[in-house]
Amino acid sequence: MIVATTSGTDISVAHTQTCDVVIVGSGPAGAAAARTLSRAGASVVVVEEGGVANSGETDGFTAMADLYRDMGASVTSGRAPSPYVQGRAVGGGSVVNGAISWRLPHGVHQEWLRSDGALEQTLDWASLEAITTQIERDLNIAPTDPSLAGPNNLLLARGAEALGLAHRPIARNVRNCEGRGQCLQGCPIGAKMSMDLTYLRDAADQGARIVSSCRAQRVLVERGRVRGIQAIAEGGGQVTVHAERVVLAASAIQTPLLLMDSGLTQGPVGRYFQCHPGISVTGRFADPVRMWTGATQGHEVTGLVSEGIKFEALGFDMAVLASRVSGVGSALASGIADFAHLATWGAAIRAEAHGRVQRGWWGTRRVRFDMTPHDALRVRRGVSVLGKMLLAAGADWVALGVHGWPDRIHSSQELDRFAHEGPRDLRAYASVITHMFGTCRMGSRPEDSVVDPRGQHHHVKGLYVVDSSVFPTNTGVNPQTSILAVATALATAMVSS
Amino acid sequence: MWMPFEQRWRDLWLDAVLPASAHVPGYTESDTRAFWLRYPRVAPPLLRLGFRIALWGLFAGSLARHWSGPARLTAMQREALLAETASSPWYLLRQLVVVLKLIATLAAFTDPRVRRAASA
Repeated sequence: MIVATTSGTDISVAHTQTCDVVIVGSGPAGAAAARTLSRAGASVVVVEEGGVANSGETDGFTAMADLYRDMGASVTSGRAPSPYVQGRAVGGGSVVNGAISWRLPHGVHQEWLRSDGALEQTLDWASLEAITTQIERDLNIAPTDPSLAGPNNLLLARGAEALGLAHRPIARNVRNCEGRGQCLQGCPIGAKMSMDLTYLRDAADQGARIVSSCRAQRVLVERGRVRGIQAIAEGGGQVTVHAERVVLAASAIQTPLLLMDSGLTQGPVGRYFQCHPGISVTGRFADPVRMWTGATQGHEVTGLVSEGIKFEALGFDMAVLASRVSGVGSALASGIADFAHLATWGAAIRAEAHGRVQRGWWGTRRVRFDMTPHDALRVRRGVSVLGKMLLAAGADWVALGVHGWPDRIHSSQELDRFAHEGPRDLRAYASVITHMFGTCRMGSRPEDSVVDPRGQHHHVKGLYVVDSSVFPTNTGVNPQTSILAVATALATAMVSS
Repeated sequence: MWMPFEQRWRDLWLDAVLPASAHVPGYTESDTRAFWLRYPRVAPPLLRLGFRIALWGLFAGSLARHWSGPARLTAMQREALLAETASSPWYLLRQLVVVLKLIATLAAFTDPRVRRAASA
């Protein structure tokens, strides 16, 4: 059952609430914090900009309009602008992601501690591992059942095996999954253990109140101490929540913007933005694949994770998939007519580049991001390996989707040539950014961090950040479980203080 | 709000992007009314702006190439102009076609008949 909320669409007059803790954002970070704090006896209000995801069959446009920020069409600025995708619903990104779960890699944790040893206070490895084990139990995280995999995932396994790359079924947070292939539109049968069905519901059972369709506008601060937040409900009413503690969990884009909008610009707020740009390649198989059947993302190739490249089977809605078929006019129409035979796989790149989030002209959201030349080489290698895996799995041809290269590539030799001669100019690729980090990073030094190792703002008492904006670096793997673990650890530290 | 001539351009270019194939209805054959009712309310400003720029950009391309607007071109001429723009060396020109493809497919695939036909 989806968590009950008070909808901001029904709030048309000024409205005030008081509580111990107000949390901005109901995605994995906000939900984990809400659950931990309400279990500890705090009175909690969660304010969420998006609405409640209704289960049931939906088309791509409706899902994008209802569950994604900007219909999934937010775009970075920079030399090669790229869309970045964020969920916007009660449950945040967990409603529209592929339910992929990875523990925080130990190597990434060590990088964090090398950058600032003080992080060990709240994020010691043993505690994070224990929290993660509990999360895996709570959310029923387990490798994808082969009977649900579907041809798209099984072909990826075959392609990786043929190239000798390590691969495995993806561990996912699902229960009673029927393999409907619609994770990215919101599960139509509620089988994905997203936050609206799990941690937020637990928090609500402990008395937490959730206000949906209500956008936080600013954090209220008096003499260096937080006093609450101000928000605007979709019905037009101004909502003020008075609280001694404010927890920001609105994402690595919205959290720094909310701080800036509140005049809290101390430290590197909005800087050090990191992400995982993704690229995809499509192959055509003689036998039907029907990408929309089976687990949306049920198999992954881990053999190049140490190089910063991770491969996954993808499962877009048909409308999005159609927009990615190569060509226009009759070429596009014939590609769509051949839909059932196409398989699309993606590579997520652990980009080393740093970008910046800030307000642009007329108050617009501006995310500046340019990959480095080294990142560009990883992108090129990712495309080449994806193409080779598709051919090795039996594809008749592959479409790289890279400007200046043939629409259809039939041989591994051509891909070898691409690996050496393919473009380094990222404008030739159609990348999409997911998983964002680092814009309010955590550390002991106020000059190069925004919050301290307990997640508390260096300059405002009672103001905390617990989402992926506190991560010192990107993770190189799907971050939902790491976000849940870090948010739980920080909320636990908050309780003990 | 669409001006009547913009609406005409819109439908012409989206039909050129996604014509019917033997088994799958194209943009024109699809029932896109639900899409266009919701589009102005839910599409982000940047997408709406990008779509308008695409329509005007292709109008300019049509004038430059054929000395006439899109309504006076044949379907083949419109498709050829789109294909040429899609493979332009200029990144921003290529993005015009990316936006049109996204809108055409989102609109057409709101029609259950298109989804059924494409998944067959």
